Amino acid sequence: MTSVLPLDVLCNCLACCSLSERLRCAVASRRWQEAVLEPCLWGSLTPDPEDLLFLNVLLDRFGPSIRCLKITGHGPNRLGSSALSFPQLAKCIHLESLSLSGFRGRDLENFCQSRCQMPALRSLVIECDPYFNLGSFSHNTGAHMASLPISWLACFPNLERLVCDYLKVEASDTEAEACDAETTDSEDEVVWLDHNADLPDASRAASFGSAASADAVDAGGDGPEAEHVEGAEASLPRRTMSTLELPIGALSPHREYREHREQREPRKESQKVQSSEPEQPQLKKLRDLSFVAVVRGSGSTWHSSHCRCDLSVLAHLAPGLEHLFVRGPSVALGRMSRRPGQRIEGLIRVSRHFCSTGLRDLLAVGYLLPSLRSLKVEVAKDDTGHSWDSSGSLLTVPAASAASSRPLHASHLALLLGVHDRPFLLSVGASDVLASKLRRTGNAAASPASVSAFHSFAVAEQHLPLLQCLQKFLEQKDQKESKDLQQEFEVDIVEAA
Amino acid sequence: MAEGDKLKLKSSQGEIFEVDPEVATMSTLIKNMVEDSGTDEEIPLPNVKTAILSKVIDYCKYHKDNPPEEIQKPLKSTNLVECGVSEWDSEYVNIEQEVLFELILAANYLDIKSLLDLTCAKVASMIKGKNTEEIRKQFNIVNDFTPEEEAQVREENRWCEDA
Repeated sequence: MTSVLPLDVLCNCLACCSLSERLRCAVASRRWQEAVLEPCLWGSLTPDPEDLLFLNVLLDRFGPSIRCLKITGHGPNRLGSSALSFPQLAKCIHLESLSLSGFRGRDLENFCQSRCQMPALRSLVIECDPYFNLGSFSHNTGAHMASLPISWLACFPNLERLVCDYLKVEASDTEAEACDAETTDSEDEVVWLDHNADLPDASRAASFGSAASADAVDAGGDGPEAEHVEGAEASLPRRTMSTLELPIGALSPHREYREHREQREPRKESQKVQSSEPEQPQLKKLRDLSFVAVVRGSGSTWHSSHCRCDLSVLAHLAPGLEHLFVRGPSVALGRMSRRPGQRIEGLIRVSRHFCSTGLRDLLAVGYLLPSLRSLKVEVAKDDTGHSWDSSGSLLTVPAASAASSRPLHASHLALLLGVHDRPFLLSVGASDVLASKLRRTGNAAASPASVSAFHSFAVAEQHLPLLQCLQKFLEQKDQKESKDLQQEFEVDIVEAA
Repeated sequence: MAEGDKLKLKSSQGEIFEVDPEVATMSTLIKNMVEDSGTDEEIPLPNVKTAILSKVIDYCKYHKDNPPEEIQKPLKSTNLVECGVSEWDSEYVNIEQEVLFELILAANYLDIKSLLDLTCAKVASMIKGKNTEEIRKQFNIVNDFTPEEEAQVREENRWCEDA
């Protein structure tokens, strides 16, 4: 009776079947076999857990037809195990979109040990099982479980979209040890902005941006760049701006700065040997990145130089980035220390607060990523202990009426982010994922946490107190940083309980 | 065509159905015909029998104000309701196999995607959980492989028989 159906309709029926059901149909008759072998049926593949047992066979037979592949590792067929390795995926020579989830333990590390070119790939999504452990008195970033080696990304030279957790900068063992022993930003890694610095208008923003960057590089103020800035300032109206500091580390990808610093502070020969990093690939076509942090060495301490939102690495890796989403890590709530009677909402709140992204890491993002048009931060905090999110008081959705808001093009925040020269979307707050987690807890009061969005940096006047938080960067960060965070964390647990 | 006028759809057996334009134009074929000719005359549908056209119109009338839900693929269950299909739709395709196939052909001819998806999902639900022999029996499929060919095809797909 099915002989009356055209082949494309038969394919439409088979598209609703699982992979194993399709292949069972192929044995029924020649016509059904013809339908099953139609390439259109294999363009997009999402194997069921039971199909993973035979994924290798599937990729052998239909690999060249597959354009989009979504795999969730399962049981004995975990990603990275011998049953499911990266070279098998290379059979999909036309693969454009790859989504892999369910990495746990050392799966991702094993998976990334093999390398082969996949030039057709445009989108790569890597999802790991919860890996970040928060305890009462310690934490573990889980960097060894969720890090994607940056050098591995050279397999995908045409990648346009990447979603991952940690991006790992590979270095020699000696440097990794040095990195682990390293403390947070040192005093000489800050540059002071003139508290009477001019705020440029949009038309002059680009030149001011580069000048500011150069000025940051040449903190002494000597040289032609300094003169240029002074000239620009002379023609602009002056506006009072509080004294602020920028971490130079965020601007460090500029070779001139590195050379300048080396000239100023010649390193010992042994240190120079240690600092020779392997050449990292550049993903010139990457436009869209969602990630958690850049890790170096063991990356075991959150918000340290080993594990942070290091924009300089992104600037080198993907200079054409247009959309950036800085997420919080995936917290293994089941492993969190929980006080008797403490509710899951309290744990989520604690983890969100602890894992929020430090604002200082985002400074000058526009200088480093000149094509950036949107920045989304799952939960940001001002590095002074306050998380600013949709439920916070520092940032909220701007008022609808134009009278109560004003463009932030010429404001401090846009300047500090280095995005005053372009239309920009900044989105800060609780993610949809987090909101759905909150909803699942059944706490109506806590959900849904909406995202505060700032289109083109329209911001209400009353939200400018954010600047006060920025000023708190004046407080030098030192080795006590992680200890301070730990204290906040403990206090937060008490509050949540 | 004046507002409030109805479209006249003519089945292969010559019967005329007067239908609201919003209902009839759920079919991309009819929509294109109306846009091209703007006809007030009856629209001939020579590939659709009266009984099937009546059933198609029932579907379009119901879904004019109730957009169908997305069907989860691959199907997770033989029960379509568990795959995102509404109770009404599930009951709608709970019909004899011969009628179901004619409905598929009509949906394909009239280019009504949601109806085609629904009817194809019904066929897939009839495949689900069955082995090759049962599939042949279900759809009266004649095995036209030679014994050698069948042995080879079975060997190629041996793993899915085990799954």
